[in-house]
This record gives sequence, structure tokens and C-alpha cells, in this order.
Amino acid sequence: MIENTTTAPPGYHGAYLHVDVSSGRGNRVELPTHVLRQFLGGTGLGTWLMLSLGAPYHDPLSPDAPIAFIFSPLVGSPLTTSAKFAVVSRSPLTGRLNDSLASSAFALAGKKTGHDAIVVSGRAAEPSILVIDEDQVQLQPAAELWGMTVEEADRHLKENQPAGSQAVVIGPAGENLVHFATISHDGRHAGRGGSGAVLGAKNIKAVVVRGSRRCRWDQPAKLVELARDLSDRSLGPATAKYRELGTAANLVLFNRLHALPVRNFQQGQLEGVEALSPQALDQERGKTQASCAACTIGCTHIYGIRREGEKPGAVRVEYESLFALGPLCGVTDQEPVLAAMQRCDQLGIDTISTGGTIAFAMECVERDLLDAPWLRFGDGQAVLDAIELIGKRHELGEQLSRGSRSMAEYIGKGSIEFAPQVKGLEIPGYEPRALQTMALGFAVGSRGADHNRSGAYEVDFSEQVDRRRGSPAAAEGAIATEDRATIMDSLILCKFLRGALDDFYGEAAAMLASVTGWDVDSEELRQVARRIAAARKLFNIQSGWTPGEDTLPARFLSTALPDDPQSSLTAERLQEMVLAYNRGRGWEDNGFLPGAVLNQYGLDCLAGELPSG
Amino acid sequence: MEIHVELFGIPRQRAGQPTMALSLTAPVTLGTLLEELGQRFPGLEGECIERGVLRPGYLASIDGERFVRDPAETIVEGNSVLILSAEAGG
Repeated sequence: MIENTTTAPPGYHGAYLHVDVSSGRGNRVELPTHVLRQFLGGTGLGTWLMLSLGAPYHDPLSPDAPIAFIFSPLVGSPLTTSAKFAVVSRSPLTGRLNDSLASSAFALAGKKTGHDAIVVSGRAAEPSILVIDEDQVQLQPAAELWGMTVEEADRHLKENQPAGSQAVVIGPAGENLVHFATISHDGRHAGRGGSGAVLGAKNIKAVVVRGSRRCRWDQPAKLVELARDLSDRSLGPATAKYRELGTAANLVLFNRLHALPVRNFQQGQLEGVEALSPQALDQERGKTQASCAACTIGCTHIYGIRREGEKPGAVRVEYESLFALGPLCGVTDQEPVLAAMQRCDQLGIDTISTGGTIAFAMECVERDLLDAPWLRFGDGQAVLDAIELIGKRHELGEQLSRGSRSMAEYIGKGSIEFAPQVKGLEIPGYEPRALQTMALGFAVGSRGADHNRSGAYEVDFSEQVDRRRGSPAAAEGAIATEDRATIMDSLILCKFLRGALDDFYGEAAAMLASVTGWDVDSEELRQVARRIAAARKLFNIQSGWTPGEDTLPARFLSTALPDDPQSSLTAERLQEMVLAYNRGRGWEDNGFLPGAVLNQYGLDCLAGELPSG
Repeated sequence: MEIHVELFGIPRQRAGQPTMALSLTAPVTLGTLLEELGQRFPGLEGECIERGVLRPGYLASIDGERFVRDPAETIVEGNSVLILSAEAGG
């Protein structure tokens, strides 16, 4: 093991590797310390990298478009849940910033190459595997892997790459440029926004990393002490739901609260969803559990699949996948829902966008706007058939593969009013009319409708607000949860830890200080969060964002939930909340960035000429 | 008076059942209901409830509408009280 002895701050290597896969050459580029301190790592540093490389101005599927894999100062430390990496690029689905996270050993091996991030641009001449072994960069032919599922490709690489290598892969969907294709590693996915298509457009099937360069820590004894304490708390009551039931526990509760999106958001409740609860799944088919590398929580719940005529399998079940391929499509049968989740994982497609787009298409069929009579709500086989078409971009799959917004624009006839997306990104499993702080979080989200970059549902699940009567007062909570998520996604730590942290900013600052030696405090981290929020907005403005994007589809603003009429939201009330959000951030009322904000956060050098609406 | 209780997530796991009906003497508050639950279902006491108070990370909802934690919250005949984890991450 080689310790990094550069002048980079402890916890960092002080550089990123920029690989041009057109030429197969890599270039080590220094990262200034002030950038590392201002953006940390993960999604924060990724946003800065994309801005500095001009990513907002490039077609996401063009050779000039960069995509970055970013690590963080905590990666490789003993802090639980810190083995994570971000994947950042411009999204082919939305045209806006796409910053995803995934977990596990790729983060550890990637940072050991001696880089804080790996940026890939260009386009390889043929399907290739990008191999990075410390400073050695190589493109290997991937003809043998092209067409393999995620699992098949992963297995092939494990068998054929040197010991200690870790890989991210794309599935057939990424190869076919499905606009919501994923980048996958160890059963986890940088899922949303189509980063798999960005890599596929570069003819890259996999990125393999290996190395032995580790970073020093400024206060190793203090870090170990903090890590022990955090691990203890990670096993306590704050994470019990994730450890014992998994996120699937949301399903039955949300159904009870009429907050479960059903049949393309036509209803908030569906009879029969108990069959998809973690207790029912466990009773029917048994369960095993797993965890990401360097994680003590172990939130992964894996259930068996038995399909007639096929060999038994297993699939990791998460709430978002369960709702999107189940109730959102009107399906409550366990077998097709689990099979659909497994198939999405194999093809490498985002389950939320897959389910949302299929559900939208189902409603179009219901309204005689689309000639596909086989694609009906409640038909689990239809969901599976649609997934196959999406993966291949075959027939109807060509339209489906571009997402619900694109499909609505193609179909016309007012269908955009019920396409379940914001900025083109399909809405996750939180019915906006029943959880109206979350509705605000969706509307203003930098990558679109997003439950990871916005944690606004935390405000709805509290005594602070009336979840069905959103008001401008909710903006403060939406901003607070967004900022906390930003720091967690930049440090990087798993958000399932948040309940275990009593003083989030204080404890986060202590962890960061023990690694880097910086005299960082709570207020500095709050500034970092606000800076990154502004940087994300800057990216989106440069890529063509307009204020009209910060809203919800007309369905949510004109129709109350039929099964819970008190769950209703108007366009006027949402816009009052958006206005309060923009003012709370110190931005212009219409969401553009004032010059003073750009200067305050040191973003003016990246801004260029910006519209101000 | 009879109060219908619904449990979700970890509270359901600890109690071992999803619903129950409690007969309590009026006036009933959230605190008195939680005390009763803690006594009848020892698995809840100490983890989800502590002597008539919801522990951090847990919420109650009256009829699936508002979320409440105040033990003084009044419960009336016919109310359904939900006990759930405040963690709603998906």
C-alpha cells in the first residue's frame, strides 16, 4: 500500500484523472485545495467539475460531454457508510444536471488509483472497457461483453480482471442509449437521469479501477473514535426500519395515508398492496440481507423469485422499485413486480423512470391516445413486456426509452398534463398532493423530481406542517433538508444515518476535520451546502433552464386525489412556495442567480454570460 | 370509549400485530393511549414509546391526517390512531 505523499490535504490526492477515450490517453489534473474545501467531494465536487469542463453546453450523448466518477475525503476512512461515489454528467433524459450516487467497493478501489475523481470524455472507436490501474490507462476491447446483462458483465470482469479490481458496468440499455439507463456496481446503481447512456454513447461498457494509493488522515486516533461511535449509533433505533424491514416498509404506510402513487398518480391508495409489504414478501419467499462495503446498517433486503419455466433467482427490493413497477402500474402481484425489478437491474435501467413511463403509457392507452391494447393497468406481464421493449428500444420501446415527457410531446393531445415528471425526470413514490413540502422539493429539484437530493418529505412527516396544505412556511424546511442532503452527498455518507446524528453539521464538521485537519465548523458546512445549491442552479441555467420548469404537471395542480379530496394543491399555492424557496436561498424571485450570489460563492468565474429572465 | 390503533413499520414488528382496539376511559389523550399500548405490548415500550411519550423518530397520526407527538393531544371516540416511524426515506 502506497501512501499519497503529495501536498494535497489529508483525505485527498489533490488531482483528478481526465481520460479521453477517443485517444485512450489519461491526463492528471490538479485540484486546487480551495476547490476541495469549497465543494468537498461527491456530488459537490462533481458539480464543480462539470461547470469547469463546460458540460452544460454539450449534448450529453456527444463525445465532448464529460462524465465524472467522484470520490470524497471520507472514502477509505473507517466511518460507516462512507464507501460511496458520485456519478455526475448532463442528463440525456432531462438536459439538466444529473448527479447520482452509488455504493460499495468501486469507491474504495477508485480512490486508490490515486485520484479524487475520474473524468471520461470522447468516444472509443469500438466497444471498450476502460481500465485504470493507478496512472496506467488502457482501453480493452469489449466485443465479448457487449450485449451482456449487468450481472453477466460483472461476473465476466471479476473472472478476467486482476485481483483487487472493481468495476462499474452498463447493461444493454446503456449500450442502446436508453435515456434512463443506469451505471451499476455490486447490485447498486447510479440510477437516475441516464448516466448509463452517457457512458454507452462513449462506447464504454465498463470502467475498471485498481490501485494501492491511500490518503493520510490528519487525526487518525480521533477519526477512529468518531467512527466507533458512529458505528454504534448506526445499529440503534434510528436505523431499525432500514435494517429490519428495508425501505419497502413505506408501501403499506403510504397506502394508508393516500400518499402512494397509483395508476400513474390517478389515486393515492390501492387495494391489495399488503401483498407487496416486506412482511408478506418474507412470508412467501424468504429473505436474505446484505450490505454495501464499509456499511454497518445492512439495508439491502433480497427476496427470491420463482417464475414458471425459469430458474429461481433473487432480487434486491427497495420501495421506489416496488411502487414504480407495482402500484404505479396498478399491479399488486408479487411475482411480476419482483421479476420486473430484476429485469430492470439486468438491463441496467432506472426503475422509477421505467415504471413512471410505462404507467404514463398505460393511461394513454386507457384514454385511447396510444394504440397498444396489451398495455393495461394491473397487467404484470404487460409491464415485463414493456421493459423488454425499452431495453432493446424496439417498436413502442423506442418512444418509451426516452421517458414520459418526450413520449407526451410525441403523443400530444394534452398528454403532457399527466406525464409524471418534473424537468423530464419521473416522480418518485411520494404523491405530491398528499405530501406538499415534497411537492415543493420536486418542483425546485435541480435534477428534476427527486427524493434523494431533496429530503422534503421529512418535513411532511413531522408536526411542523399540514402535509396536505403546503404553504410558503414549508420552504425553510425544504431548504434545510436539501442542504443536509447536499452535505451528506458530498462528504459522502449514507442518508440512512441522518436519524443517528444529533447535531448534523457539528458532527459532520468534526468528521471532516479529523480527516483533513481543516478548522471547519458548522457554519462553513452550511455555506458549502448553499454554494453547491447555487452551483447546481448555475449548471441548469447554462443548460437552458427557465423558471417555468419549477412546477408540477397540471394533473397535480388541478385535480384533488379522488380517494382523499383534502389532498389538493393549486398552481398558485405551489408558486407561492417556489417563490418562498427562491427568496430563502437568496436567489431572484424567478429563480435566477443574482451576481451577488455568484460572487459570494466564488462562482462568477464559472458563470460566463448568464440570462436573468 | 373504543380507540382503533394501527401500527406501521417497526412498531408493527415490535407489537407483533398491525391493528388493535383499545377500550379506554374518557378523557383519552395520546399519552394515556401510549401508556396503555406500552403496557399491553412490552416490545413497544423502551423502543417506540417511553412512559406515555413517543420516543424520538416516531410519530402518531390521528385518522391518517395530522401528525402529532404531544402526549396531551386529545383522542375522541371513533378516532383511529396510527403509530409509525418518522423515517420515510425510500
